[in-house]
Amino acid sequence: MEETHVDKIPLRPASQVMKLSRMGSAHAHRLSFMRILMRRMQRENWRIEPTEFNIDGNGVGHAVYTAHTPTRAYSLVAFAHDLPAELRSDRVIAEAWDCTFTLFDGIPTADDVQRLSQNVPFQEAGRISQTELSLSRANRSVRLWAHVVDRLASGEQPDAKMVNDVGYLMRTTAVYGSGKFGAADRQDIADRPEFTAPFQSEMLSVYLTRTFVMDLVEHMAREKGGDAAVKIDPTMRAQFGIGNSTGLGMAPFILNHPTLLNNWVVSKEEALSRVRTLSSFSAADQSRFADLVKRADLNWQLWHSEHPLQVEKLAALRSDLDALHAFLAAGPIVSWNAIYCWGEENLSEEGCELVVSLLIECHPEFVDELSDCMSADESLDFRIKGKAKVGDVLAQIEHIYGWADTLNWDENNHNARVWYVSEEKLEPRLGERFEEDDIADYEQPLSPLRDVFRFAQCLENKDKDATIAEVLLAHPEHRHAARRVQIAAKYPYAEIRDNTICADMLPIDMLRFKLSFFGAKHFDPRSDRWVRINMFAGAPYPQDLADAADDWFFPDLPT
Amino acid sequence: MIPSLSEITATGRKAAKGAGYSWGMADEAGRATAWLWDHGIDSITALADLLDHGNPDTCPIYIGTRLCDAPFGRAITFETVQSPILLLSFAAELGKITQNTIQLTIGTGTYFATAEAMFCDTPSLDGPVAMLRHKDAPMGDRLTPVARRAAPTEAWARLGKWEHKTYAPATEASRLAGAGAGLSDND
Repeated sequence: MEETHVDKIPLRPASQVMKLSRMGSAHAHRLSFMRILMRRMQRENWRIEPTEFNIDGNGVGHAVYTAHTPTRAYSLVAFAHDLPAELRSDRVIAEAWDCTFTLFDGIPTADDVQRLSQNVPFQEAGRISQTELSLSRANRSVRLWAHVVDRLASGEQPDAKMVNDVGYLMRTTAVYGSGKFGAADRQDIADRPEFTAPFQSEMLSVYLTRTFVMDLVEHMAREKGGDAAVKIDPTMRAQFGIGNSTGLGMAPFILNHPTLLNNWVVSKEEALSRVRTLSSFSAADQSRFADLVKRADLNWQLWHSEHPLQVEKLAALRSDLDALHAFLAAGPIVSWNAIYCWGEENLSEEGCELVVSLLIECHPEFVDELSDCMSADESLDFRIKGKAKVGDVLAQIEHIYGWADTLNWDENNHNARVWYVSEEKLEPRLGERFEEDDIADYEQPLSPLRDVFRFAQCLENKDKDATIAEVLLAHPEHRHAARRVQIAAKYPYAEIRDNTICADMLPIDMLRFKLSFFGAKHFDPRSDRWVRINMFAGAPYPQDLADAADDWFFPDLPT
Repeated sequence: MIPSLSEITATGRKAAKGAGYSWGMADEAGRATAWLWDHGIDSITALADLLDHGNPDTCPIYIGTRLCDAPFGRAITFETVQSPILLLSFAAELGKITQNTIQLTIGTGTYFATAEAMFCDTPSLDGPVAMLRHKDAPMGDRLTPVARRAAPTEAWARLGKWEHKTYAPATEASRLAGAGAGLSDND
């Protein structure tokens, strides 16, 4: 189809999309990392098979699942444990889990599995090596696990409502990669096409984990019920995702990787801009979009949360969906952009960002290629440009951070929080600066707005023609802020346009934003700094990959 | 313990912060330590010695960042630099920044950094330092990344002690409130 392009609609400004409330309303989309992985696995016809499954009647043992790409093999090595209930915690400080995993680079030998069995079950307390790409663990959803095992063992299918209410049998917690605990460094694998896009090895690990967990639950039912046991109905099986439970560790990531953050956002915003710019919009397009909204509505019906903030957002999204259905039914719409503009005017941020994801969903032909633009070589922007003049840097600061000029930093509420790391298993935490003694001594540099403000105060007293090199020679305490400003000046979406240490900051906004780029759904905050999600729900299993379309994210309409 | 490069970067960074460097300088320390280790040089011991015994006036991290921020003219010398081998990483960056060949001498050792690569003519870890812009072709063997290997145990532990200073003590209040999640997830 020929598309006539009018003047390209500009990308949405950072002042809009990099506000935390907007970031915390983001939904998964075609450029989410698990979607990118699934497309590649389908396109390249990856073959995935369980190569070992040695798990006893108590659910203890190990299994290996190998994914064969056209040129390589990767294997999930899974260890299943019999975990006492009192030890079950999703937090970093946990020391035992229902299952533990590593993604092995190749096909492990018996010696490899033996070595891994001495380390992987201990997670942070063990060591892995350059042949391992990730380290992760998962805990059962106790209630649903027991229900599914019991039902299958007695020859019955699980209760559909219970399955819908929880959505997964196990929740992963931390999924470590990139050199953590001895794993391969990012640079070791970054030149492999299958790992060029961000977090692809981690996504592969989680996808294989989902398959393993489904096989494990059926295995346990068979052990319990013998010949009477049945397998899960394939339609229901597809609905199971793999859960994830995420805490504060994700928030520092998007603050510590500004170039990467920029490249994720610029890709998504470019995708939206391309769709908004399309001039052709037919009745068939409108009908196709209306169907997609109906499928998103089915997804809403599966999205549960008890957290007051999310309850409120889901109620707003309910109204948004109703309004969107009515808008699409009311008569002909003139363009894709008209849908976006109507959404921006009439919907909550939650609804508006859903519209963004749905618009992007409709045009793989203009969007999917952008998945090649989402990684970053962060080393290229590390060096500070020392010749930059003080006056020019102040102008950059005003351009990027000027929105916060009126904040009075002497007021406690703007400085209320401290990001820190506990010596207790190095768990990332958030403290109250004015309530917890000495906590500020351990502050991590995760408050760019305040730190840049301090840097600017220092610069105001200098000769505007002096160089940044001269300033930093006398003031090394501002070095990280100086680096930050230069990166943010080069990359428009590198910086969050909010104060990450103020009293009413919600860490879950940062978590949700990152998780939306992973491709998660059903964001369910457990507190202001903890969120559960569902991953790969609806995705084809390995044996169905070849025949499945890249259209699994939203539930199908009833036929 | 065979560390990954990202572990060396992180440990070097946190150890430097724990020893009193600013975060921005600590970033430089972590990056330099990892680059050198990757190129076959025991930067872990060098950094541990620096953090244990150094001072800002003779610190290669301060000197190196200063030179990268504002490259020197023809030549520059330093009579005393603590753990001077850490300057090699900054010399490598200066080769790229200036697009010149930078000659670094450390005691009896000589290294050449170009925009593309680092060369070692004679290795040396200690001694007075001189850097100059070298007009001719670099001499010696090209330094290339080497395979992972075990970290020196004693020096790694010394970095660990500094690193630990960046972690808040474990308290019951912090455990309950700081992460914002329950301790059990039996649901």
